[in-house]
Amino acid sequence: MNQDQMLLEVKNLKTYFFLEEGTVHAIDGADFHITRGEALGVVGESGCGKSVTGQSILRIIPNPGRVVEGEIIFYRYNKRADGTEVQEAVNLTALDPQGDEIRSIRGGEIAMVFQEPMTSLSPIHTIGQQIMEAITLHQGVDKEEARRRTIEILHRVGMPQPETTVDSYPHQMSGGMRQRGMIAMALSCSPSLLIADEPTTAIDVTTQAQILQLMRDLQQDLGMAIMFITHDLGVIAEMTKRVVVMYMGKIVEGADVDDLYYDPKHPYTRALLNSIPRLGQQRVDRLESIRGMVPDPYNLPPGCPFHPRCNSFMPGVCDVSEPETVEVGPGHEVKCFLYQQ
Amino acid sequence: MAENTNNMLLRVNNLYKHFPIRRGTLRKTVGYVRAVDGVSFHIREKETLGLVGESGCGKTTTGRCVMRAIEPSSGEVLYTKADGETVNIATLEDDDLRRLRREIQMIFQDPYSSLNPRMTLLQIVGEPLTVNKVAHGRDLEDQVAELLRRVGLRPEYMRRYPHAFSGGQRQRIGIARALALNPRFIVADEPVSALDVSIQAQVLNLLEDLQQEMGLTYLFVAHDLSVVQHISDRVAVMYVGKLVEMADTNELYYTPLHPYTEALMSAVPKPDPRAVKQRIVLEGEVADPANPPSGCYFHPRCRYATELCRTVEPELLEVKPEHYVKCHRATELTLRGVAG
Repeated sequence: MNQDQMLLEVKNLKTYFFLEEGTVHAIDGADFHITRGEALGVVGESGCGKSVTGQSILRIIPNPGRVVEGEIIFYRYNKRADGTEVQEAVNLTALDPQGDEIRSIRGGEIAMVFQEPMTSLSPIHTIGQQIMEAITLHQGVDKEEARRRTIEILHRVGMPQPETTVDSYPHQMSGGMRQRGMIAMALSCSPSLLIADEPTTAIDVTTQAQILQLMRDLQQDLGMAIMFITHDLGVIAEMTKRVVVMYMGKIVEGADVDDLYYDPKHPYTRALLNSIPRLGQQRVDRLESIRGMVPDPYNLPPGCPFHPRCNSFMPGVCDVSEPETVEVGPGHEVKCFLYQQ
Repeated sequence: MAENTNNMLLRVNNLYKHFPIRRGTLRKTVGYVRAVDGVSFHIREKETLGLVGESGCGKTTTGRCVMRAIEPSSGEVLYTKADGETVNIATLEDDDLRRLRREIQMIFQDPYSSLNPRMTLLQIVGEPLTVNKVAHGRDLEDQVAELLRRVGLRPEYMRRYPHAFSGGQRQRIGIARALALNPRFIVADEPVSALDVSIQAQVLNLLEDLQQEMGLTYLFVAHDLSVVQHISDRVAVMYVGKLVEMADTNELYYTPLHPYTEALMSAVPKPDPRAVKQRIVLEGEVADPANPPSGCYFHPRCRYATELCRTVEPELLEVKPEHYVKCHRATELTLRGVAG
């Protein structure tokens, strides 16, 4: 891959939560990358560590969580006076989570859209005040200019009557409008990476279609990269080019979206794709379910964490050691003993 | 109506539920939220009727009115009991209603808030049995053990509390409680929407197995169109308190006759990167049930709307056998189903 196009590289990331009951390995050795302008999907079930991945990048992991190992290299592009760009690599895990440098990146160069727009917006400030705060903080413009830019960005995300909605409080808006407001805030500083954590999960399906369309248009127009975190395999198929599948804090498979859906290699990915009822498919009598349940995070099984639920479980192999990640095709990586030489 | 009335379990006629909006110190009623606004449908014995729609469309309120967990404002809910007698649940006296509730049970959406954290599984699943004086002591434990086994939980768990169980297991506990009195009819309100996909498949399979074994009838309320397609024999679609279309599942999904149904189907992201995207993105937002538009409630967002749609509300008509649609243009439009 062309190194100039690299935007974010995550290497052997481990984020643990230190609780009284024990240590939860929320992310346990994740490797992936995002190139400039790319849409990467991160898919998995609840508790697999997909949201913590986004939080680790922005260094906003809630207590008592901590990045204990690994690197997150973010490539910033600074424009020089003569118009050429210089690439500068920053290791986000080495920064002070409260320091100036991460603060200039957070919200400025890497922005985030959260799942629940009602709880992630301040109820006592208007949507305009909240977006203007981000603009004045990162772009150093005066209030009047910030307001002008806020209205412009609200217009861009399709907010009805942006000149008046700019002074509305979140409770006066519908779920779809609030999510548009969240996206406007995230886009206000033209980030190079947008982390979207379940951005449409709390929204109805017809509104979801509007929001997904908006995000696709914005990504194309602004050329930003999107990391799309979701459990919805339909949203992933529609929005992303490349996907990583997470299970118990590990990336078990990564591939182009087409390869992943048409030629899944990992038994977990296969089971996941078979367990969803599909719209328009003739009725099948039974869904293929994955037996058992996600293991207790305090008490992980030895070896591959999926082995107790796996249909291809090999006794004496899968429950003894953890498989390496191997490349089974161009850009298609799997962490499973079935593909190990 | 043309349908066979022999094995009818439930027939709902013109069901209304209006919630008053009160303002000021005197709590004067200034308007009504028309949560359920003249809904009629029927369910036959041993079938599953899926009730779909977006949030606020009144699907949950309809489910609750049917079993009178809340009082309907008006309308009839005719239910045929196991002994063949037909009663109107909407006007039933308290004593009769309590007796009837043995036949009708409910499964709730949120497996976390619908189980009392201070009660053991034995108390939770056994409560319907003790309240109705069906069993106690040793017999109660045996029956609870059998119920737990039936939903795929180990009987040894009966002394544990709900916090020891995962979301999918809790939903099984809720199902065991609903089955305790050997019901005939179950209202399932979004029973799998809080569960992960791998667990969702287990619970859907369990619900289907139980239906087979016990001859249950389901009213399955959900917003997920793929789940509803999988589990339902027939599907009814609601929009702003009204039922806009009802038909056999395949008929509704492949040849929808209401523009809202068409838009709803096309809005669902398909788990297939090669799928051709021909999305109908609806303009605007769902109408406010406290202040609905004139004529057909869907007309401001409908791309086929005419002057008639703006002024006159259409009737729910049986356009084809067993296919009911509430649209002026149902017979002239060719709409796209999920296969297209």
